[in-house]
Amino acid sequence: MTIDELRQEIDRLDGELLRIFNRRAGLALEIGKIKKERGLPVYDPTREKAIFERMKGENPGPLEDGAIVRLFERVIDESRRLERIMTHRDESQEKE
Amino acid sequence: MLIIMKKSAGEEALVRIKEYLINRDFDIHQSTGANRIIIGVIGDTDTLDQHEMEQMPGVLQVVRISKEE
Repeated sequence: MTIDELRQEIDRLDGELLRIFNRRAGLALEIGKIKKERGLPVYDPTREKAIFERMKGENPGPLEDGAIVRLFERVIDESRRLERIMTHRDESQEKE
Repeated sequence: MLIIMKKSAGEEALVRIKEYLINRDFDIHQSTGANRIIIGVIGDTDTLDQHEMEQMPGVLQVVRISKEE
């Protein structure tokens, strides 16, 4: 494959990742709503650990396990942030 | 603000500091290195008690980032 062809494939995969990240974030938001209704904490360390362990276990490489953990740390940090923002938005709308 | 964890900090210590920050509505960016974990705290960290965090298990250093002039 040429560099251009390889880059085209990377662009296609990036588009796929973008859709997957947003779909994942949408699901995390749904969970956030349920957590709020049930009075459960936003931070669930057991769940986060389980995600990291599962991803390391299923990692086919060439990315190292440490890299996989760092990538998922970012994904989880951003999901939690989104959950917090949406929760606050809902609360301020309820007050209006 | 940056929170640098000790090399010896266990998972319990990490969970505790993350809980402390998340329960106070701060966003965090965790960065796991080969030997250390650094937590970047995002938001108005003026309200955070630096001394209290430095006393927490597993915390090596808490670094405030100076405000730009």
